[in-house]
Amino acid sequence: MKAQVAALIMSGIITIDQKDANRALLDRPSASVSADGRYVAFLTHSPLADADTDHSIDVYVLDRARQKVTFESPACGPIDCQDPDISPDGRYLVFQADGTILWRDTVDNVDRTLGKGRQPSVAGNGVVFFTSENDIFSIDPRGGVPRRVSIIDGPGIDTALTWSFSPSPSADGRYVAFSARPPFDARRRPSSQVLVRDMLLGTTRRIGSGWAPSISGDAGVLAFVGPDGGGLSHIHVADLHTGTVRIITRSVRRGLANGASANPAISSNGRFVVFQSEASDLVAAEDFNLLWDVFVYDRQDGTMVRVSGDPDGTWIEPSVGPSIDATGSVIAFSSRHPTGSTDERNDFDLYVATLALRSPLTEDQKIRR
Amino acid sequence: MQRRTVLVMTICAWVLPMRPAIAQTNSGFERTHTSFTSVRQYVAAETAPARLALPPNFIVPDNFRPVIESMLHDSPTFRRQCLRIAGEPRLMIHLIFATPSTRSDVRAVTTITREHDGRRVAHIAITPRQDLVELIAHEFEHIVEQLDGVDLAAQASRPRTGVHAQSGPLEMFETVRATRIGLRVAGEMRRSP
Repeated sequence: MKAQVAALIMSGIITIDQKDANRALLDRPSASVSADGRYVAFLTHSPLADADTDHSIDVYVLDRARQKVTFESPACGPIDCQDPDISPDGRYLVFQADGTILWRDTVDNVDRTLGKGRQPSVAGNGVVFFTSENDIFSIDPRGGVPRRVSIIDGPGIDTALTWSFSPSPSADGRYVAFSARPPFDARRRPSSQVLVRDMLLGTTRRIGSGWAPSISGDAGVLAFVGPDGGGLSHIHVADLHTGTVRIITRSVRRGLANGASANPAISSNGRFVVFQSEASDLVAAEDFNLLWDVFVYDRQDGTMVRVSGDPDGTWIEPSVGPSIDATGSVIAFSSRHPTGSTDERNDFDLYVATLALRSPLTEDQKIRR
Repeated sequence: MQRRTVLVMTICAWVLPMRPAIAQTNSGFERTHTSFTSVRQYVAAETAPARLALPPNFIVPDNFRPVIESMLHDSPTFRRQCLRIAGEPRLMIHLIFATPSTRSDVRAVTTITREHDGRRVAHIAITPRQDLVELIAHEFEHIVEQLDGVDLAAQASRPRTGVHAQSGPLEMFETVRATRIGLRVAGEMRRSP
């Protein structure tokens, strides 16, 4: 008897101008999705609102329910913004401008500067985690002082890992995944490690070699990029309860995928992992563009779906920097694919895809990884 | 049924005021900081420009012009290729009728060179054949691959990537991408009224 397993299918895409002609293919995501998928914070070079009169990169928030965008970074002035992140409830925004972390309460219309840093991420409890110099810090913007998170003191952890970056907090802010590596040394190749800090118990745990971690809301699952020993990077998923780590970027034929993967983001419920990959054999459908595409992996049934494409095939242009909501129903990413017949620019724009579950799977989709 | 509808509306009325968007609806902020026209539904069939002129950096002999003009008119995929090429002012493409000298079974070859000042020049040599449309689109796609920064040698070294290194004295590659796009453009031309 065949199991009735649901598969993800695309049910609609909306687009917004980002006009980003300078984006590098491995840049961090330029969008962040709230837990319910209603709000998407994103960067754009395009002045979408009347109040946006400069030509800098700004942060806007898309409200999918009302099909509107709101200019949220007037406090930046003419300075370019980067690394936007939105809180799970969609109320708080954090982003970086000229090496400074800015925090915004969109309900009370309050802006605050949190200090020098980059790569900010806001947990469900409102606490902000960010990289400053070579460490990870946390701060409660509603009152509090910065706390150092990246304390390298766990058993079996190389104390030479003094450069920490890329924080990813759990929903309650208790656990923080991050990457750490030794300082650059011309004599040896630095090996980046993925670590998880328990802020309550004050312990740090090593997960494995890799970088760019993304932790689930309950801190039970962690996705990160790791090496495969053959020169390609792959997406690893660690079950933090059992301690097992496995690679999900596997070929539909056999073995590992034939291209590099990067920028993983895990849904808060831990079921879906979205990432970008230049591999052409992750899905059975032909992927011939030789460029990065966005995929989502369902941990429950082991299926892989390419998000950046039309029902009849792949897009020719690259798609990168995905982010996902709590349940895997909304995925935002940037793509150079034309948004419409009037899009004659060769630049990246924002795509927000809505996915739905379909049942049952076709034979083609039943590929266990 | 009626009872169910009322229940949903009641919940919405209670939940929506809790959302940040509603909190920002004071009229001044709404008017100057928001846009209701920036969000567009993506429609797959509408991603190619409706009309397009020949890219100025594409040098075409007169005997090629009729077929190129018809490709621009009838093939959305070719229009997208031309749009991409037109957006690269430091690229120049020369198309010529010639039998490629590399191998007797090769129907077309594109040679891309980079000048000292960073400009790129592509020479497309095409054998005069009936499948001219497919060949032109195919070779155009090889040029777009290079504009995309595809590392053909690295891709060819890995299994099943759709890139194949051709044997011979020169470093030559064939890609599934160019083959598919060539066939797609030819198909669009055939289906055109």
